[in-house]
Amino acid sequence: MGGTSRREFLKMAVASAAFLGLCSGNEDIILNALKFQPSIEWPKPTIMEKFYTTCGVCHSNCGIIAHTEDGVIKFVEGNPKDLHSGGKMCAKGIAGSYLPYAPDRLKYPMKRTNPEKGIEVDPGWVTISWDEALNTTAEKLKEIKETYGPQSIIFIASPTGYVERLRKAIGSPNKITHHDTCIITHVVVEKFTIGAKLWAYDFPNSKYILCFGWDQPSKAKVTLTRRFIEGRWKGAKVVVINPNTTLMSSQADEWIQIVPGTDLAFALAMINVILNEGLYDKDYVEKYTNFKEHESEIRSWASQYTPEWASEITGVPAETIRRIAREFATIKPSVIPIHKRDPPGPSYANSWKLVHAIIILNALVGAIDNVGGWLFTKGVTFPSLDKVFPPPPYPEPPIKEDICGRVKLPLLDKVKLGIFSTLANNILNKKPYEVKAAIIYHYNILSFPNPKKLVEALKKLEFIVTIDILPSESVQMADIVLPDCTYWERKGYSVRIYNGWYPQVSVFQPVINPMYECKSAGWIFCELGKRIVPEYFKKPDGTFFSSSEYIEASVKQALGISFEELASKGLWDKPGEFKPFTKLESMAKAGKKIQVYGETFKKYGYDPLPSWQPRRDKPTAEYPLYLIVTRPPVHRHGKTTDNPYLLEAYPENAAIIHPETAKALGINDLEWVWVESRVGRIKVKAKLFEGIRKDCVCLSHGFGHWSRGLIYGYGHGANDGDLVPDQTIDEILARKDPTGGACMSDVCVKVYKA
Amino acid sequence: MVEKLSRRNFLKAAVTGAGLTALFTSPITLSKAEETVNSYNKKPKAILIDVRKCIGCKACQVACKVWNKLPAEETAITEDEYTNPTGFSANTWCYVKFSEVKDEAGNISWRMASVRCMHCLEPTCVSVCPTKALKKLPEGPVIYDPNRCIGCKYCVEACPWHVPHFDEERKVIGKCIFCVDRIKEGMVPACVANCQTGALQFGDRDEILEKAHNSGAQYIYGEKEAGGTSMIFVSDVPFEKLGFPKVPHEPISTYKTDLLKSISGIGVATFIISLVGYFGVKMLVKRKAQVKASSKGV
Amino acid sequence: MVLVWGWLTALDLFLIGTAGGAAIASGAAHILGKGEYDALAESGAYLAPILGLASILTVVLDLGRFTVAPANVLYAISHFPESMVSVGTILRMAFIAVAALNAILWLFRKETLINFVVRIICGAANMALGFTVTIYPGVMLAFAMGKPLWSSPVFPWVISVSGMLSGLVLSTFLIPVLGVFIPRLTPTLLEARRTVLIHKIPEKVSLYMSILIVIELTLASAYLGSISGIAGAATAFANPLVSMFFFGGFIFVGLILPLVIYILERLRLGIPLSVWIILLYISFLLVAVGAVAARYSLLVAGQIL
Repeated sequence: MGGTSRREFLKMAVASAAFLGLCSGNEDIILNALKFQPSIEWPKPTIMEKFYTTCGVCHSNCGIIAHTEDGVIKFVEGNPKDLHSGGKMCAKGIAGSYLPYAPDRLKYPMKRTNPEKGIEVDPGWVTISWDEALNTTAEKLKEIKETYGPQSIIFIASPTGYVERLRKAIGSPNKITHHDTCIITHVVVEKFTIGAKLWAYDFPNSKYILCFGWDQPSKAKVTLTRRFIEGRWKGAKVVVINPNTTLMSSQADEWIQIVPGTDLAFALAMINVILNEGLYDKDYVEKYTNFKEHESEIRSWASQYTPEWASEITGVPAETIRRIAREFATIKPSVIPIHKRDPPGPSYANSWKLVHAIIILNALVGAIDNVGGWLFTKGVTFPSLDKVFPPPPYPEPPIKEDICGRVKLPLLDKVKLGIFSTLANNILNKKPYEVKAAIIYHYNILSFPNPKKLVEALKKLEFIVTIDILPSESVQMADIVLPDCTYWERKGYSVRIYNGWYPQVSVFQPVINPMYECKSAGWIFCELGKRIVPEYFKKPDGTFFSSSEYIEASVKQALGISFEELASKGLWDKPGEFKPFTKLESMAKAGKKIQVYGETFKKYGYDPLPSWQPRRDKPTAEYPLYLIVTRPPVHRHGKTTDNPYLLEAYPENAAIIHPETAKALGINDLEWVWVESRVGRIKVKAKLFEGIRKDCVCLSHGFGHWSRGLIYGYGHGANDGDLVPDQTIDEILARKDPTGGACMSDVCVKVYKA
Repeated sequence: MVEKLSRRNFLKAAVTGAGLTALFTSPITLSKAEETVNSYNKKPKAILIDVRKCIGCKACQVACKVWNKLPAEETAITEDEYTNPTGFSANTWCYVKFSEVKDEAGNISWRMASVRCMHCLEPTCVSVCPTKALKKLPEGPVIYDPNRCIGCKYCVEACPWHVPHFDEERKVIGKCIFCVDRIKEGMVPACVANCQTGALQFGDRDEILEKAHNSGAQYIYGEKEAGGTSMIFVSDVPFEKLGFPKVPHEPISTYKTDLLKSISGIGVATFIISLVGYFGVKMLVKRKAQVKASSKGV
Repeated sequence: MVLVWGWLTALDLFLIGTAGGAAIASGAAHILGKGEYDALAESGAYLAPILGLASILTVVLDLGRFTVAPANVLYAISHFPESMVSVGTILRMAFIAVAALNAILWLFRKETLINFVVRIICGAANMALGFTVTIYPGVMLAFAMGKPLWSSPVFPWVISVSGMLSGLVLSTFLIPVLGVFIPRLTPTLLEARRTVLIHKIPEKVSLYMSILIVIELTLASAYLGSISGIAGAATAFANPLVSMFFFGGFIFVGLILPLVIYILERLRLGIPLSVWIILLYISFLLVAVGAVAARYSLLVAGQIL
């Protein structure tokens, strides 16, 4: 018996030991198991450093606080003292903390080894040193300038101080920017009617907010949404005119589904009613606008735009138009907000006129520079690069005419912005001249209308250098790629243009050191400048200036403090209360009034009053449906559609279509369809939604990446831009459009099963 | 001969085994958090979620992922276009649920609700967890020690809102922890920190309930469900239309006791009916045979 | 749709329920059988701990973290009696221990009074624990507040009686199997082999099986009635997978068909007895199959609601 028991014991011991030995746990577990109350503790967050900086995902440039843990960005929150963010952020900004760590980020300068260029073509990148990259670029550009002239070099770039200096020093007229797809109608029309571009709204004091497709709460634009929600919940009535039902519908009291591109008719009829019934603010209008001087002409012009007339065009009952006009004029303070990429522009051929009509409406009710209304920007003027480091006189460009035809649009040229919807055509037609080289910075090919044409155009160029953060489509077409820093890794400041209360500047500071061999764009352009046009990149003492020096000097000059001090505070502001009419008074004193009647427009040969003009493309038998374009709240065009957190939240776009329309076409929910326009077609899933007009198809922008370098973004959805026609400068001039708007939604399509 | 397992033998084996464990790698152990003196009070906390104000920006959803270092999931467009991810997982602790709602006139509009663990006052998951891996803190958060879990997934089945999920690949349970590491430092939860419309608000539960009742909203959810939760939703649209489940108002303890009583009742009834049935039929058959026999006899 | 508790859990529920049922059948056959049904008592005694251990294996395989942290199962007893999984773990351990003891007593049976008394006591304990392990899984499922289709008070009884049924029939089914393959192990089973050719055991078992089937059918109807008010219950049960396994597998194949076979067997209908015996044994298998189908379909229905 004893022998058995000892053997049994040993067997048991070995078995238990083996079992316990297999446990990849501590001896704690065994002892803990005998306890009945476990001690679960939660780890304390490791010590976090906090930095003030600015979010660079969109141009709101919200002031933020970045939390880092062991030198890695851990979290982002809004700066509570910031006028824009008010301590809050949107999903895009929070997910922006991922950007520096994106594995597909551009890390080193690279050169192309595959001579073939095109959609989905692998460039065959080879890593090179900065010296080789910069020297090659400089030599190539100099060579092309010598051979073909400076105008053969085009700058598809955001016109920063450095970019402009390089461009002007080289002598190229070709400033090519995206503004014709973005803000051009707003900027030009506001500049030449009101005298400035207005961005901010005093929603918390509004009582009536009328939105012509203004959809910023659906896009989570913090600075606008915060105040809009506040105003709405303080009792403002919100009326939205939009052919599609968006997320903002949870905040609207009335939703009017209009025929896309006919908002102008609605607005004109409102002017008609307000003038006929004398509902406008007579004192304000007389004091601050030029209405009185042109009253009879304005009245006779407005008399033709009756609500009955508008009803035929817009599909909205005349009584509704009349009622909205009356409400807008009597429920005060009222305001019509506009922003960018909305019906006032530059979405349709008549968008610039819609801006003017809205300005007239806002002026008639006294909303501009008033409580509850539309506010002038309160910024700080920073000395430009030319002021801080004055250049020698720029050379006279041998050819002044730019490749896009911008110089033919004098008002556009005056506001120093550019267009690019005409670029592809002119490069391909070699009109007015041949283009040989391009510097692409901050822009992606997919932002253009009809980008496939641009790809063909760019193939004709001898040399392309692209400065970017991610391997975008612009990168894939380049010969040399230079890796840019993210906004987390560089110095700078933002004046914050969406600001109507008091001046507030926000700092950009390096929260982390630039990763890999990335350099700031300022540094890159200075280095290029040193090599190509050295005289223009020197300080008075003959040494080269750096972008860092410029930043520090301009901060000192504008704010009177050092950059370090600005960085330690995060924000610099001059707090003050909003006093209505301040700017209007000073304008009136200087003899400048709001141009209800566009005298400047008339002077330049454009319509002084926003007479009715239909949209460019109307439905035909072949293309019976209107295309409308929007953006989801978690994306910022194509810039965020490679971010896994944001892709998880909204992975792909789809053709939003009414169930009845889909049924007639034999299409079921989430089935693959082709959406085709007169310039191209795309394949997407169909998404049936009752909230959209039956004659419309809606697509979200920012998808359809074909760059295989984007490990997450490649292959998600399709690009709505492939459906949008590019333009010629002649057609812009023919329709007498002073803004050169790209008409990014002005196209009709057909949908059929794939 | 069966060897009875004595405590001494067990401990001896344990010690031997413990020596061997040193040769093997440990799982990630949680370091002990020191008791810090915080400025925040230890009263039970709650979050007010105002569906009427939500614009569906998903800042809460993304903030939760970024703060908790959760991986992003691969998704595809779904039935309502916007809800993504479409449900909780071990890596998705908070997401926004989109609903199309129609008013009487048939006008369609959106309503959005930021959903996450309800952090019930008497959590079902804590009650059913066999290893005490889940724990309810007095301040409100229902937290868990993923290392103590055995992966039985009873919590996954028991939760009325299907919140906890078990990741088969990483072999861990995952759910919202009410940002216990943030609130203990006096910060608000990550989801609340960036809500631009004020649809999410954080505070003491009694204050949040007061706000909810004074908000003017017609419907309230989370106050009584499962005996009361820490996530108080208010809406102008009935919650069934937003896809919220109807959850009984009893806490899990009452729920269990009531069920046990009914189960016992049914058991006793079944037993008695079966016995009566069995003997009744037996008697009937016997009597039938007797009648047959007696009728034959006559 | 991903099932969290799927076929492995269904198998586990089946194994432990059948083990408990086998223990009950074994104890009842021994205590009330007047010595005529010892073959059944013995085969049930062997079946109970074997299936019990098998159920432990399936449970462990179903644990998501067992390969990562196997020692954590030691924590599983720490939440008794609040967590039904803890309760279940302890009950299972106790049951397997007693069932194993019972099996050993039958294996090394001596015809002494003490041995007999001990076997009676052990058998009674086995029955009691066997009953608890047939019912606790249903209670465990019922306590899942998130699954309204399991929260009916009738539900655990459906599971329990199903376990008793499959335990009874599988114990009986095991008799000829054991007798054929290992006759030398149990001398009484040799006799049992002879009794196989006589209809006593399978017929008697079929009688009690039928009684249990009638009870189970009533309970199943009562269960369906109790959940009829729950939104989505009809859709869940209309799901092709669920309805196939529940109505087809459980109700029809597992309950109605065996009942019909027994009723027809009593009527003989001119068919020879040996054929009927084979049909009865087939009906035992059908009951077991139905029991597996029952658990799987109920698990699925509860989770797809």
